[in-house]
Amino acid sequence: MPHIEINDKPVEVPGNINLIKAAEFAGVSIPHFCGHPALSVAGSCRMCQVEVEQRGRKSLVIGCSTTVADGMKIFTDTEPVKKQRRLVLELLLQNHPLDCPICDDAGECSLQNYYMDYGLHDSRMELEDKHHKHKNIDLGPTIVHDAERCVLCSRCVRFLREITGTGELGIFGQGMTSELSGLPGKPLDNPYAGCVVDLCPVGALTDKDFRFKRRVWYLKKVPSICQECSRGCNIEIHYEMQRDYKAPGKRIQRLKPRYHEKVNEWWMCDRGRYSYHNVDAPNRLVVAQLRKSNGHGPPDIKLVIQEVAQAIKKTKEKHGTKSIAVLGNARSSNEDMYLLQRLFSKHLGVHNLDVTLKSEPTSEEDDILRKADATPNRRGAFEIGVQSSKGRLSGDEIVRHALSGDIRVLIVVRHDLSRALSEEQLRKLGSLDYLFYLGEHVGTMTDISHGAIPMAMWAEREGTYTNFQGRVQRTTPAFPPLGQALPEWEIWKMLAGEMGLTIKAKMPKDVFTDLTRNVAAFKELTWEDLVPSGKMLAWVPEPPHRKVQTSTPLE
Amino acid sequence: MIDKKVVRVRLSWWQKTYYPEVARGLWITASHFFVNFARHWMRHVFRMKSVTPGAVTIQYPEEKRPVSPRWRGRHRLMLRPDGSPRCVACMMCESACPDECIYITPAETPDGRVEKYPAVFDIDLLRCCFCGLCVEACPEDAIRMDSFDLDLASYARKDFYLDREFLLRNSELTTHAQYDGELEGRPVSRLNLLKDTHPTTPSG
Ligand code: SF4
Ligand code: SF4
Ligand code: SF4
Ligand code: SF4
Repeated sequence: MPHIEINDKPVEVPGNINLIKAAEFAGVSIPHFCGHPALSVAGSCRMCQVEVEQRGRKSLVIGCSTTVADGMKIFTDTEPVKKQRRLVLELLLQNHPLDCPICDDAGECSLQNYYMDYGLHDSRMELEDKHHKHKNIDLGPTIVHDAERCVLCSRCVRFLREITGTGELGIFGQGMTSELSGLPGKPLDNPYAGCVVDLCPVGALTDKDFRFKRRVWYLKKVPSICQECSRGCNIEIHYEMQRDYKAPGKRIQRLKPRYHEKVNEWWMCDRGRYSYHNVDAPNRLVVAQLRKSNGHGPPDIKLVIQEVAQAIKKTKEKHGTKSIAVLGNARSSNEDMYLLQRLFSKHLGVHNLDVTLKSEPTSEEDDILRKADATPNRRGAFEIGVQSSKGRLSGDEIVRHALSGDIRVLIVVRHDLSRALSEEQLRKLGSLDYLFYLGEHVGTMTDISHGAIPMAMWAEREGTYTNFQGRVQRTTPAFPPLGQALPEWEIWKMLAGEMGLTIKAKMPKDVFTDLTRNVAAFKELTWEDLVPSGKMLAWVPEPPHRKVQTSTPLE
Repeated sequence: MIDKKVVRVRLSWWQKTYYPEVARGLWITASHFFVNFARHWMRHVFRMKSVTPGAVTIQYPEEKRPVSPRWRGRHRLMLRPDGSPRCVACMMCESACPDECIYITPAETPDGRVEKYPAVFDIDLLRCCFCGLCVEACPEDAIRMDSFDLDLASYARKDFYLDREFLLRNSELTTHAQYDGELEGRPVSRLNLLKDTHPTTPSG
C-alpha cells in the first residue's frame, strides 16, 4: 500500500489506482471530463492536471493516467494547476454555445460546475466568431446529440466500444472542426443506449424521453430497485409532482442508475430505464371493482376483501381446500410473498400456490446486465415457498384446473391471463365460481373477474426484493399510491383479519422482521442493513467482482 | 422625562383684530385663481404652449401620471425582431418566483431553430407580489415589468390569470434598444410610449 501525500496530508491508498481515485481517499476531488472508472484512459480533456513531486522534482501530470507510487506528493490547488484548469476551461468554452437556458443538462453539467469552481473568466471570444456545429441531431430512437455542446471527451465512444461492443459513435474531423457523430445507417439503438446520456459530462447527449420535461433542480430523488428483470439494478427514481401542470398526472420524470459494485456498476438497460411509464399510466386501477354490486355506491376494498373471505370460507366447507388456488406474482416483494404463504399455506391449508406461468413476458438475456427472467423477485418466491413443488399444482396447471372446473376460487395477482388464453377460455374463467384479481391496471383481467382490488405499484410502496444472485435489496416509496390502491401485503393482512388470523405488523419492516425469524434463508438480515446496497441471503456467498463488459458484440 | 416646549406664536395687535387678515387670505386665493385662469386660457384657448400650465391636476384616466423608468407593473413578454417570443422556457423565472405564480409548459419549437419555447406561459397576477425577481432571473431579457399598466382592475378574478398571448400583446413598445437597429421604425421615446399606450387592463 503506497503512502502518499495529497496537499501535504499523508494518506495510505491501495496500489494500482490513478491519482483521481487516490485523491478521493483524502477527500479531495480532481475535476475531470474524459476519465471514468469503467472505461479505458483517454487522457484527452487535460482537466485533471495536478502537480506531482517525486524525488524533489515538481511537474504537471494528468491524474487519470498516472498511477500512484510510494512517496508521491500530489498538489491539487497550486497556482500552476489552477492556471492549467482555467486554460482548459477557456479552450473548451471558446466555441461552446450559450445554450444553458435550453440545455437539459444545466444544473448537473460538469462544464457549468467547473466553470463556477475554477473558471470564472470573461470570454475573449466575440459571439459572432464562434465556430458552429450541428445541433439537434437524431442519433437513434432515444438519443439526441448537440455537437456544439460536446467537449469531445469520447466517453460515449469508449462505452459503446468497450462495454456494449457495438461502436455506433465515433469522432470525425480534425482540430476545431472535429465532431462526434453516428455512422450512416447505424442508429444508436442498442439496449444500453440510455447510458451514454448518464456518461456525457455535458448536455451534448440528451434523452428524448426526458427532453424539456423538467429542469433538473426540480427533481426529487429516492433510491429504488428496477423491477424489470431478476438482476435488480440499483436505480434512483427522479420524480416531481408540484408542477403537475407541465404534464398532468405524470409523477415520475425519469429513472437513473445508482452505482452498485456487484449488481449493475454504473449502468442500467433501456427496458428498465423507460419502464416507469406504467406507474402513471391513465389505465391505472384506482378503485375496487365488484361485479355483484350491492347497490350501496361504488365498492371499497374492504367490501371486496369480505367477498373474497366469504368465497374462500364457503368453498372450503363445500369442496375442500383443493378447489382454492392463488396465482401469486414474482413481481411482489418478499413481505407480500411471506404474508401470502402464511395466510394460505399455513393458516388455511391451501397449497395451490405458484408465481410462475409459461406465458409470462420475458426479457432478452445478455452477458452485460439483462436476465431472461423479467421479474425482480422469483428467487424470493422460491426461498419463501410460494412456488409449486412435488405433488402441488404449478401455475399453468392451476389455470388448466380452473378451466376444467376443479378449482372454484382463483385469486390472480397481477398476471394477465389473456396472454395465453383464448377469448372463449377467458369467458369460461369468468364463469368460475369466484375469480378475484389483484392488480395495478384496468384490462381484460378486471373485466372478467368478480372482484378487483387496486394495488400500489413499486414506486409507491416499500419492499424488499431478492435478485438472481440471492441479494436482498430494498426500495423506498417515492409517493403515496393512487386512489384506493394499497400495497399487496396490506391486502393480505386485511384478508387474514377476515379469515381469523391476526397479523400485528404495521409496516413492511415488521413483516420483514417476522420473515427473518421464520424463513431460514433470510436469517440474520435486518431491515436497516438492506440500504444502500443490499445483503446476501444467509447461505449464499457474495459473488466475485465482475467487470460489466460484453464478450460477444450485441446485435 | 423630556418636557416639550411649546412655542406659541404671539399675534400682533393688528392680527388680533382678525378681519383684515381674513381679507388678505381671500385675496391670495383669488389672485392664484385669476392667474391660473389666465394661464389656462392662454394655453388651451389661445394655444400658447410656452406658458406654464395653470393647474397641476392630472386628468386621469385620460391622462396618466408619469412613472419612474424603474417602476414595476404588470409583466409583458418580449418579442424577437422576427416576431417570435424571446422566451426559451428555461424556467429561471418560474424557479426564482417566490410566489410560484408563473406556470410554463415547455415544448419543442416546430421550426427547430431555437429548440425550446413556451407552449404555455401563464402568470397569476393575484398571487404576484411584484418583486421583479423574474425579470432579474431571465437570461434572455424576455420578461419585463414595464407595461406601465396603471389601472389593474377587473370585475372577475380570472381576468388576472394572464396567458401567453396577453403577455405578448403590446410587446413591440420597447423602451430601450437591446442592440443597434432593434428599434428602427418603432416608437422609442418614453414620452411617446406613455402617450401612445392605451393601457389594456386585464379585462380587455
Ligand atoms: S452543456 Fe453545460 S455549459 Fe453547455 S449549454 Fe449545456 S448546461 Fe450549458
Ligand atoms: S457527446 Fe458527451 S460523452 Fe460523447 S464525446 Fe461529447 S461530451 Fe463526451
Ligand atoms: S414579480 Fe415576483 S412574484 Fe411576480 S411573477 Fe415575478 S417573481 Fe413572481
Ligand atoms: S426566465 Fe426568461 S427565458 Fe426563461 S422562462 Fe422565464 S421569461 Fe422565458
